[in-house]
Amino acid sequence: MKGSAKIGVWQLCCVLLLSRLLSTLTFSPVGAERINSSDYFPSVIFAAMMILLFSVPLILQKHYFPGKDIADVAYTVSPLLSKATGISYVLCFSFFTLVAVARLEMFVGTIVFPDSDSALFIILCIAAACYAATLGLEAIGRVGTISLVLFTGAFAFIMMAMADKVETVNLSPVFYDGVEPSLTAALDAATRTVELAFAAVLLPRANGKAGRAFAVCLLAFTCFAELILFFVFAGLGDFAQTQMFPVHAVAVLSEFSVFRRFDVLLTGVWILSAFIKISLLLYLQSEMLQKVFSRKWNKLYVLLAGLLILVIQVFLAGTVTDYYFTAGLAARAGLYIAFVVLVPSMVIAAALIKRKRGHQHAQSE
Amino acid sequence: MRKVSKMLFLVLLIVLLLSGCSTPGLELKNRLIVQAIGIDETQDGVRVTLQTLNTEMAGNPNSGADLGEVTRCLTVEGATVSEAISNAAKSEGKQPLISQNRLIVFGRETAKSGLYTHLDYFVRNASTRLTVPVAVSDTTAEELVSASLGENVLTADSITDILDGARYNTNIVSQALYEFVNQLSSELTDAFIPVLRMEEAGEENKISMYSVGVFQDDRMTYELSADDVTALMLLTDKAQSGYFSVDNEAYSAQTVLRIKKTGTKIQSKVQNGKILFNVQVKMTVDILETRSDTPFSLDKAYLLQTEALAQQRISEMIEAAVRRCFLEQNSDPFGFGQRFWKKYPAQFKSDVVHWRNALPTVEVKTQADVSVERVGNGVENL
Repeated sequence: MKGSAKIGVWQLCCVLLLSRLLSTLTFSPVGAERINSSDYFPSVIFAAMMILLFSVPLILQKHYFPGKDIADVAYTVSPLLSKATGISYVLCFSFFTLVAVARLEMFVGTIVFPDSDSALFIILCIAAACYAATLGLEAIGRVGTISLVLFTGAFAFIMMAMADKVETVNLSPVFYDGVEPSLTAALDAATRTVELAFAAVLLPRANGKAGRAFAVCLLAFTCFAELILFFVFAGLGDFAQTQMFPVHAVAVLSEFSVFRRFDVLLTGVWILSAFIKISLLLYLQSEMLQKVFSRKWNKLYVLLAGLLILVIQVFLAGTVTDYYFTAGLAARAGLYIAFVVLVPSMVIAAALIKRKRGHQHAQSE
Repeated sequence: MRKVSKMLFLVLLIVLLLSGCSTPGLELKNRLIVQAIGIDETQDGVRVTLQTLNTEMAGNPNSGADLGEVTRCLTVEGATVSEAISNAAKSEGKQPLISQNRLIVFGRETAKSGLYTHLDYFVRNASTRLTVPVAVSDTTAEELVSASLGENVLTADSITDILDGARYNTNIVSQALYEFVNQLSSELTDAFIPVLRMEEAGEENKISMYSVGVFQDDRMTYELSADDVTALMLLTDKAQSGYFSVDNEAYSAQTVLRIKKTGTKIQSKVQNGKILFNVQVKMTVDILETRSDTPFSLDKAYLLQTEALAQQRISEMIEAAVRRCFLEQNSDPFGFGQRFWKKYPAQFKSDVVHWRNALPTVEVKTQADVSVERVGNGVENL
């Protein structure tokens, strides 16, 4: 990682948390299996446990190969494996970018500009994200930290304004249909935590105690998800199950005294967070492409990645991501586990075996 | 050069993003600003009555020119609500703007034949405010929405003002769209919304709260009387303030009490295999008026008696309303079933299953705790 700029681990933590919280904002019970409202609360705890389990390769990477990202770890086995890993991660990040852009387009097209074409917005958003990605990780980290503060502030307002509309009688009994629905919801939430793949690339770029930051990040995510789900289901009741974006519906309801239209505040925060996530993903693709090809054309890689996303989103009307959203949980979980858990696990295992053999060889000589 | 290109990029963003209202057809003068929507079912579909703002009049109220009333009513028909609303553009040449809508009204017959099919448009349309009140017209929605309440009086405004009265009067109910849909989706709690009546008063009309309609599934099946509405408000813990009176025979007096603060706690339990709900109402009241033929002083004995009578009145009112709904209508608009399901899920699953079937055997006991805080400025009645 020589020559790469570094950021504080807490800054990285803020950017990754913001990216994950954006996925929580797009939480939609529509189309998913109908799960009783209170079953979502234990599901967040289960999801945190699953995330911890899926983080094992990341923990091993940090422990055995400090200062190396996943492509560098693969390089210790063979340069070819490093390139293959790099390409696998580029594909992975491209897909996550497509998912993020498609979700943003869906939100903007449904809520902000229901009467007009959102293509122009998407073009501008990707153009701005490409520019932000070329500015580097430090810039994204700084904006991400400020955005997280804004995000937290906006939600503090919304929750405060919603307090008088919360009715616990709206909530269902916990585990009414057994533990299975909660586990299903947990798996769904855990497999949306693609930030573990981001961390596999970015962790060596962070200064500070990564373990503590990771724990705080996970705890913050758990608390936020619990809080937002509580306000969604205790505030909206079964109405939440009819909404494409129930978190936005909560923001629409939250008003007190002369303070109204908090949904506009949420919309702003939502778009800002999506912009940062897309910028980060484009930056990550550029980083991985630099490892696979030449390091010279980093800005060109960002531009190409952005262009690819734009073409697929605008001209293919989100066909790829439509397929992903309509795919069952098993298919989505399979994809996630294969790319985010198994690929790094195998790379780390191979690197450890090679290192052990190297040690044994050295001792025998 | 770098700085200039950044500036140009920013200018481009501003030009492209901050031009939303200049899109042809989206300017305010080209929109029908909808204030209230009335829906009546017809044989071929639905008749939608839109109360819209007369933008020319609203923009120039003092111009002196005859620009007509501040609102206009427009009736359109279509196979569905969305089709009918979009048909408005055909006759007016303007696109309806639903985000400013302040009221949704259904005709009585429409409410009786089921509302699910008509509500989907409002739930799906992101422009609809979820807090918009929903009501039923005693006759047709068209009649209520197009009622003329006087020169430059916004009917939608007047109706929402009436419904806002729920904060001061326990006989008034106001239900927001999301609350109504939430109740309609519930298998345990029956939904309810206010029924409004329009009466002719000379050249102008008058709108008032008539009753509260209760829905089973999505059909309005019966209505609640004024006392039952008070009980409903108390049991759903939505009562904030209001008035009720008690008759004191010992003093030959009628005392009017104003509710200052009230809270209700409902506990469910199973006793000898029977489902029992204990309702506890804690209320603070002020004496607003005493009416008697002979003067008497408001002494401690009178106050204690008033408190006891108020407690009795509240208990009787709640138990009578519950009896009527449970036994006569086989309906639970109070949310008892939801509470029982939440507290005893296993028992509910094994013994109850269909809450409606269990209603005749459910017992509700009420305990009211009413305390008089102030008696007003007079020490004795006149």
